Amino acid sequence: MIELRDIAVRQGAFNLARVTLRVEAGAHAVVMGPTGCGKTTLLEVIAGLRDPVSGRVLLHGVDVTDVDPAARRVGYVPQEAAVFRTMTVRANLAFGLAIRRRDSAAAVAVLAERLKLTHLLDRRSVGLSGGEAQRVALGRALAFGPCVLLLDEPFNAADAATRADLIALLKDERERRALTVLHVTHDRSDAAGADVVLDNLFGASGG
Amino acid sequence: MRLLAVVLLAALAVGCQSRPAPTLVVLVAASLRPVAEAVAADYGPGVELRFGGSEELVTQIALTRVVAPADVFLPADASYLDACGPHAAVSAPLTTMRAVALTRPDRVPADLSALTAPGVRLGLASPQTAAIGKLTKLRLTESGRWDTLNARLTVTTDTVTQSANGVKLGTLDAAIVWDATARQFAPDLVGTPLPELAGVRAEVRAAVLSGSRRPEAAAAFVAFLAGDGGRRAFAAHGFASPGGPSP
Amino acid sequence: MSVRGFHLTLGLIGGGYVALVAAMLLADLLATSPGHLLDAFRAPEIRAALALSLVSSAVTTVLAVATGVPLGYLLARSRFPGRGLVELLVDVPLVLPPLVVGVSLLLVMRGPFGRAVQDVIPLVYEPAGVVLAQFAVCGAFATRSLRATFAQLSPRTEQVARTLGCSPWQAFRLVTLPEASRGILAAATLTWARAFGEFGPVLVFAGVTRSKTEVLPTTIYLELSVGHLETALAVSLVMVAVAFAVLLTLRRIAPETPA
Repeated sequence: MIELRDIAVRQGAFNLARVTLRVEAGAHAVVMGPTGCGKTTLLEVIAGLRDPVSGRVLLHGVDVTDVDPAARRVGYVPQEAAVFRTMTVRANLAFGLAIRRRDSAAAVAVLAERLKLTHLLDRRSVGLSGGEAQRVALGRALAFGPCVLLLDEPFNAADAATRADLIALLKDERERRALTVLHVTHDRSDAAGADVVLDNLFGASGG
Repeated sequence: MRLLAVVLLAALAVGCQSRPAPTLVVLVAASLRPVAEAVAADYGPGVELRFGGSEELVTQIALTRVVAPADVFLPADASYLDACGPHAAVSAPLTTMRAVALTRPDRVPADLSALTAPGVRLGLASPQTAAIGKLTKLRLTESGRWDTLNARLTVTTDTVTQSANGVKLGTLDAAIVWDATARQFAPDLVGTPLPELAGVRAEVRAAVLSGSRRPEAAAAFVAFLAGDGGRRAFAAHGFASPGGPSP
Repeated sequence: MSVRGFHLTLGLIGGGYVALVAAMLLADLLATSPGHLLDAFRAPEIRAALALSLVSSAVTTVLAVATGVPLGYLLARSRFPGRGLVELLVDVPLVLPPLVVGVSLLLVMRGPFGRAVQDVIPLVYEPAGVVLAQFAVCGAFATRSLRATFAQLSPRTEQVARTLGCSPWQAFRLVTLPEASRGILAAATLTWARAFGEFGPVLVFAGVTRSKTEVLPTTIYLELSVGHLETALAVSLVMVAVAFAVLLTLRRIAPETPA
């Protein structure tokens, strides 16, 4: 479950004011909004990468507003993928488990198979196509078993078939364990497969 | 990379460990390096020569009197001794230097007017920073020739060696330098005494610095410089004996 | 204008500078002789100066990069109070005349703090002082270069690493530092070259004692002071040769360009 209570963010001249939102545990919610309205900022607040001026963030009923991002167990897939380019694809996928000193071989193998990345595993993550990079970023965010997954325009670089695959994958992951997905996009067709579509969340405060 | 850093720091640490034995620190004008090295070698171990421009050495003496005091000062000419405060003792003159015109052997001038002729590129060390400039200006002002010469100067340099280097490189045709400087550039260049520069002379003296922590040892070294050992070394490097004529 | 013509024009403009550097090098080469080069290599003082030049500039580079990485990172990524002032301060060694840097260091060492340091590590007129004099200037070069490196890297990867469970230190070490490795190597190269050729602060702060605080630029100064132009040029050419060797080696160990 993701819950935002009266979140306000100030970022230079840009203000995000009084956002309240609730996504039930295990749901897949899509937040719609035009480019530049603060969708990315909202995800950063949930992940703990940006401090809100006021308001609280609750994940699965726990107030995490002051919790370090490393301890929130939030999988984050930024719009630009931000693949670790000095590492192999395998090391990218294994990163969240390796940092916790947990065995990653099985989880990486399964995810790579499902994300069609197996043939790339030992390649350095330089020169991946946009779609490949997005899949690596998604696998990296899922591998360590987060309870919340945050996606920032994740299907931008995907063709229609890949998009269907990824939506199926997300659905499956949600069924296998308690995973709550929050997904922001400006493209209404991305909302396919979501349980909840949140429109007009930013109202007049958007920039 | 990390190994490299460790090795380098260790090397540096070893370097720092070698805390200096109580050596005698002698500040020497860079232009007097060869003769000072010869004297120090004759004198024996325990002398550390530290070189620099006389001006810079004066600054160093003022700034490090407490942190790292030096013992003896041997500047390019005795005028710098006045600039660095009181001294425990000043030696007798070690040599006397005379101003000469430095040129290539095929362009030896007869008198000063040959240097100030049109088309001659002439250099002189600055009257503000170097004794040769200051004393030349003084002498020629007395005889009413300074304005003519000053107007004809192509360059004033920071040190006397720099104007001599200009002649050697061919960017200058002539420079007014000390006879001791001219001898360092032989046989490529020759120094010619000019009647108009006859009174331009400077002495080289050494002094025990007031900040010295070993004044007796310092005085002993200064005495050696001014004594037979020093005189031999100065003569061997082509310096005139004090007060005497140019060899 | 065709692309070819465009590049030709750029080449003519830039080529003037390349020609100037090449002409200087050639003139140095012509003004000295193999005999003087050989003499330079034979002189024990000059060999000692070469060794001290190599060791001191390497230590300076390690120190300058070790301080430039955290400082450059903070200046690029962090918004802390007084940041503008820190940026100005870091640029001071770039605008100060080199001799003034040396004099300022002597003034610092004259104070109570300086004297306490001098009692533990003798710096004034000592070999370790060569490193401090070089570091005082080169730290600014390293910091400037590294700040640009970190400013060019997107902070996003480091943020993702944080959500994956990294502490700030882990994210920096495992993600940001490897991404910056090329920039760090470039900064190290620049810093080393500057340290190797540094003269003014070294002359004033570490003094000029043969075989003790003499680095190759000092040797050149000493030889010029007694009119040994040929020897000075021979030593300069030794410096150029050593610098070429070091810079080519550094370029070879540089990691391949990430796309």
